[in-house]
Amino acid sequence: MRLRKSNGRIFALLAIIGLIFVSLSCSKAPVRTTVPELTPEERARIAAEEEARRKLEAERLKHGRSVEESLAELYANKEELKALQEFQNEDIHFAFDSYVLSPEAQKILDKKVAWLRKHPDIKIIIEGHCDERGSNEYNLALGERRANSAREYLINAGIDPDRIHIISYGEERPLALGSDEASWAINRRAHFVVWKK
Amino acid sequence: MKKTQWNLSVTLIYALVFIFFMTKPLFAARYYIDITSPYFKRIPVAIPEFKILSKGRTLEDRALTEKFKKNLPEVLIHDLEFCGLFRILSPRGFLVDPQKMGVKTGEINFKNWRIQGTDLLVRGAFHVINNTLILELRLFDVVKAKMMVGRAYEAPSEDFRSVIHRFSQEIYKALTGKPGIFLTKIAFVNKIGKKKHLFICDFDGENVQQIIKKGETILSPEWSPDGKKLAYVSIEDMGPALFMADLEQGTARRLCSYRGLNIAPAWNPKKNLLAVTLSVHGNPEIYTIDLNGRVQKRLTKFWGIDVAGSWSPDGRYLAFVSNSPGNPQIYILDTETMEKRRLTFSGNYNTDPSWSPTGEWIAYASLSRDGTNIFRIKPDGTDLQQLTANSGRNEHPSWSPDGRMIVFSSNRTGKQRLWVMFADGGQQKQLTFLSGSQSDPAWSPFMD
Repeated sequence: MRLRKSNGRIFALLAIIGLIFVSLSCSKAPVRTTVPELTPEERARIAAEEEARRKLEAERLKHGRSVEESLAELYANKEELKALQEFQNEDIHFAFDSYVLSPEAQKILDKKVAWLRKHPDIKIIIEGHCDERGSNEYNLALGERRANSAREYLINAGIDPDRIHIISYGEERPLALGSDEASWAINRRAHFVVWKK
Repeated sequence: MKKTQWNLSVTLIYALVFIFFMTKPLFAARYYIDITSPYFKRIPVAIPEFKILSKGRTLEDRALTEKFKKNLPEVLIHDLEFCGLFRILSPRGFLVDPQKMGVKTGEINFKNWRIQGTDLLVRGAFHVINNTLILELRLFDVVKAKMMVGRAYEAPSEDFRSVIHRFSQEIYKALTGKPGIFLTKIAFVNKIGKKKHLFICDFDGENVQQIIKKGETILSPEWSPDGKKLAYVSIEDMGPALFMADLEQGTARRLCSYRGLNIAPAWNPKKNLLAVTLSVHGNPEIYTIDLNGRVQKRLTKFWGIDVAGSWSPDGRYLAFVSNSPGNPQIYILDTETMEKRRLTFSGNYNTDPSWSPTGEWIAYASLSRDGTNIFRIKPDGTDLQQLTANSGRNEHPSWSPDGRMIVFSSNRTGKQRLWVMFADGGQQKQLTFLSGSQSDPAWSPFMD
């Protein structure tokens, strides 16, 4: 019982620290790691951003824990595990050839924001997917835009951009294998995965 | 890919023992067939059974001889029918016993063949010695009673298809003055289970070989202009990355894996660079990269999706896909002035542009309620024509290097297979009959 309580307190503390980081970082534009063909101004801006990010990460290292530690804690706790599973299992869906977030998708994303705020050490991957119709190449780009729409929403809600990596799988990893509207609707999705590194 | 197989052409070159005659047209400036004319008549060709010079000493050689008696003319007939220039006469009407008939100019009764209604005669004679096929092939102009092409080949018996393709190439060249497609290859993706692998086959769908064994999901193969390399996309743990396979070396290396997308390679036919789609700036945009994957130039700047497509034969213009009108449409970018213009206005989902090697047409796939169909349009936006109809999902058009044919993927039989058709949509026929789902065909440049 005692252990639980102190755990809770640590959690609350961490959540607050996390929020501080989030509020610090949300004013920053996303940092690009590899950027070709830059003007000197862009180069200078990116250097400044990288410096800021380095500072931020150094601070986080001082106060925060590793992702492994955080995840181990989540797995150990039944309710946390359930919340984690819900975070990973609930996809957001899109209309054909669209990356616009529907009101339903935004509601789901709000839940994800709350969970991410609660677990500031955790990084995630957002996967963008499409249905089988249309060009494979265009769908890879569309999948990335879908993942990016979700990412932007999370960033606007104050989540640190560095915590969110996106990958597009285009139409290459369908969930439902049918060639009908029901299957297509399931496959037009952004999927959220906790990054275990 | 095994180096030995790829080097087949080399073995064939040394195997070409002697040349009877130089390939040349009977009139220096005029060829038999003007393939640029849309109304040329198919030339009648007679291909009697090939003469067996000796039955073979070993059991194996005898068995091969029997097999080749049937297979050699079959491959030749298929080649000549495939290219659409010839009408093959039924051998049932032939008046002579092909095993007794001669093979050289003086031994052939041309009058007799003229009566049977043919303009051309292909005469073959072969035998198998120690698993080696020794084959003589001659093309005769029946009307003029003259030999047009004569070749002798000596090759490992398993390479018999390539030997015939070589002679088909000679026939085509003698009659049109232009290179044929008989030595070209088609790269494609085959989905087996959940994995997509990279394959290559001959122009006729035969001689299928897997190229890259690594990777779970391979997409978008794209030939280098010299036909020696293939750029392709492999979807890895951190997203799609671009690779390059060296077909002579049998190796593959990473071309680039910038953050985000690295997709849709389009090899510039004149310069050592590729147009690719990257999202390193946060948005799918088109860039040119060099052969080491370094970014040379950014070609598009638009908040939506821009995906690379296909270069004009002169390497100046790039056909690409942009969703700036609200849905994907094909645009053309002049990479010198950086001016772009919209090409397609019909349909709400136009992708997969493929510029014909003659520069005359851009083929593309259009998705509508009726399925996905292939269209072609002139680069100036005129003369839009639908090439496939009422037949499911038809995608990924890719032109033969002579611009006369298009290979594409279609699921019209219920299974996704490669199909070919002539540039006007005529004579659609299935090319691959493999298990799995075949897609993303890319027709190679001319090869020899």
